[in-house]
Amino acid sequence: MALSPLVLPGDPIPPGALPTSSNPSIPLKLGPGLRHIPPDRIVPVVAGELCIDHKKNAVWVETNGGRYIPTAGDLILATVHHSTSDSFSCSISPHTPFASLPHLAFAGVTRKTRPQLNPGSLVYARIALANKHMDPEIECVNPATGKSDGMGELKGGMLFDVSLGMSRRLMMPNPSAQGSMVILDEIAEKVPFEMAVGRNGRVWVDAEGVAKTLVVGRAIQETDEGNLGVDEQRKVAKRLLRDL
Amino acid sequence: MAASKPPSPAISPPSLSFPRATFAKLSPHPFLLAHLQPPTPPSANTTPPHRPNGRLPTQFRPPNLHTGSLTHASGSSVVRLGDTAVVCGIRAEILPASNVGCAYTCGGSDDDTEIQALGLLVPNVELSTGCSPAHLPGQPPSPLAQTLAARLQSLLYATNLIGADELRIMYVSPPADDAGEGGGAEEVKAWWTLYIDILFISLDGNPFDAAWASLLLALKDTRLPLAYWDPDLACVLCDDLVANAKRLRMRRWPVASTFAVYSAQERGSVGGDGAGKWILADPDAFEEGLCRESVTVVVDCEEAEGGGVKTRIVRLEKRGGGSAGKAEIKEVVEMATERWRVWRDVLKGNA
Amino acid sequence: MTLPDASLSHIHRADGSATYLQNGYSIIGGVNGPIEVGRRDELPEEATIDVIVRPAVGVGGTRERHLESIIHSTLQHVILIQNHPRTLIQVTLQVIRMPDSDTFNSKKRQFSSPLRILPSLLQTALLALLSASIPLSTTFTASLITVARGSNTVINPSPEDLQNARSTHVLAFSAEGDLLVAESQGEFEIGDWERVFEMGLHAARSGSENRKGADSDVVMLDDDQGGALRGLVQQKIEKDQKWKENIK
Repeated sequence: MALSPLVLPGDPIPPGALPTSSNPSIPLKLGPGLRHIPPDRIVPVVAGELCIDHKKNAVWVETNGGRYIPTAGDLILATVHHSTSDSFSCSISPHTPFASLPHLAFAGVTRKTRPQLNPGSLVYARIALANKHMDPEIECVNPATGKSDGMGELKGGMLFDVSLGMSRRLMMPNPSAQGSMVILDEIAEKVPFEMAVGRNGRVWVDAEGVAKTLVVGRAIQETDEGNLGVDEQRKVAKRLLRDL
Repeated sequence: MAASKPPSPAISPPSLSFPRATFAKLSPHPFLLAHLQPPTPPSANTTPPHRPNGRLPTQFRPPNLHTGSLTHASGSSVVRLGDTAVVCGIRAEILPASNVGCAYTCGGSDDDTEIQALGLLVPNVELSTGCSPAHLPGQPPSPLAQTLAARLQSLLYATNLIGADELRIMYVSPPADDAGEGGGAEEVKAWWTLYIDILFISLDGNPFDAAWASLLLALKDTRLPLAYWDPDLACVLCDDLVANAKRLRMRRWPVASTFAVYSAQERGSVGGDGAGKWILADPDAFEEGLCRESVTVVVDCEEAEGGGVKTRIVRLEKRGGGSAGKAEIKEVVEMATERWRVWRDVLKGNA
Repeated sequence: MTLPDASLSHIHRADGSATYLQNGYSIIGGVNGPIEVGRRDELPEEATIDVIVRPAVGVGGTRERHLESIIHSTLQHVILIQNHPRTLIQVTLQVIRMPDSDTFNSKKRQFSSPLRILPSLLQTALLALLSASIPLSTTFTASLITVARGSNTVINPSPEDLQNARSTHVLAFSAEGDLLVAESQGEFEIGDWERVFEMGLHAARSGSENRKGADSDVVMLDDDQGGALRGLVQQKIEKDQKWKENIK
């Protein structure tokens, strides 16, 4: 796959670069990193790779830096900071306003059986509401089904910080094939582990014992910081497993 | 919305309009735009658009000057531009050569570096006087005050207003023998350091022009007492006769003019290219709050033969936006030259 | 003249970072944001921008405040501040190295010229903002130009050029060719300035000309500052997206 064109903020996007959908009824979708200036100009606002999905008639700019901006629907890892009378205040990224997690936004809870989360607890949650003028709201339950969908408190394990691009790679359905994260498979052969990835650049890992958890976390962080290719990832995995 | 039936005289009708001041507070940006936009359709007998303060877009506020009002300062001035009022006082202190670390060779024509290296001109700007609601009294110097001081200082040094020889206190050693030979060597024993304090009494926009004008006037008003080196006491003494004090000689008279660039497009709105823009001379506080882009030009003109003037620019500062380009800068420089003429005439009347 | 060099996103703890080297100046820029803003500085409709300039030696003084105010008003125009209301975007610029002619002990130091460092500071701030993926309306190119006696204009002057300069100018143009910053000092006439303007615009333009052929290979020209910027960012993004090469 050839690299898509690089765009800088303010670059004109030639009309030919926009997706051409076979189905004209699907409206053009602008993803992150683009803004629409009426009537018909579409301008990137960040530097990155211009990505296009012709099937969904969508266009966006992919970039790997910066701070996480809450967006509704994203799965994130949040830390409980304190509890108020009807919700938990959770931190999604440092130095940003707390997101509120209502006590009742968990699967199968009632007023009587509300969950007890201590400050410092980690929750896997979905962003329910986010806009630029309000503090975000998160939930640990699928409001349509009332099921937890795997969300809720994460016990044990450790939390690792990675870049936003890495967390997107890890969240792909098959990270080792689609995101060339072969290091995960390499390590999983020797060390079984559990992992939860948040869009906010956080990864929670749990394996048997602290040493094994650290190996997994280090492997992901080294791959992220060094932009390691497939061969380098195998080397790092070998080294980390040998030290174990 | 015109009321269809006339209101009954008994009940005063609910006012459908607000006074001007309320509009200015509620929606400042459209308020200014409505003032500047020419009336449609254009008719011959309408007056040209005015700013809310009653001035034409290119009209400056007339300066109002006073010098020498502070008796205890070496030089002082008060400058008023509309509701912006500034007091400047200059205090001269002696910097003995023995206090200067590296011996500085004198007599060179290296004027600019000497004044700069020794820091002989020290401007300071004080905004925390209750001059405007944005600057609370008793606060540490705001970024604006620090920026103004840095701009004034850099302009003072760059323009070489005062020669270093004006500030030197020299000593000519007496002849070594009766024949008058030997000696006669000149030596710098001390320098005058001028502490220039600029206090804003009231701030209604355009602080730089007012501060710079007050600084120039105060320097012009400054009298330094006759100072001499006493070899027996080994210190600098000052003559207390006023008649012996000498005035500072100013080499030139650069004039600063500040303009704000107002664009019809409000910030944050997208689209609508080709919106109008206006250059507002000498903006007041209300206009400064609405214009992010500003241009300051400092010009020093020479009167050429035949009544014309030759414009030399000594400083140009433009920032905060992209709507003023080459043509606008040229226009601004022409207006600054006009402004220089006004100042020249005012000073002639004042002198 | 020297071509600028830079590395981006090399500080992992900051949201965005860049080191920029040009004309003997070396500056590290870090960007954090959008983060929570103090109640006093909070703006209801837009992001607050905080620019901090730290000199190579000593603590900042009025000169640094002046530079900060110039950079602040420029960034305020470039950043889409209304995208992140009631937040803070903090830009810290630490000067690492100055050219020898500008050091404190040098006798020839031009005390009154904070302008020399301004283009590098502006460019560092821009790269750090790009690295932090802060939404911007455009990019810009800043250059330093001197006019010597005899009206000889030089872009990116050498120390001798600076010594002989009658006037020094800093100009920053947006990618669309709008004049964002013009700071000049010295003694000059409007004709001189117009030539300086054309020169700065040309240097910035040659970069944006490249943009039109964005899908063709980017050609790096030697006297091309805008192109240099694009090249620097391209390197960074290619590095970020390297993992995609293995995907079929």
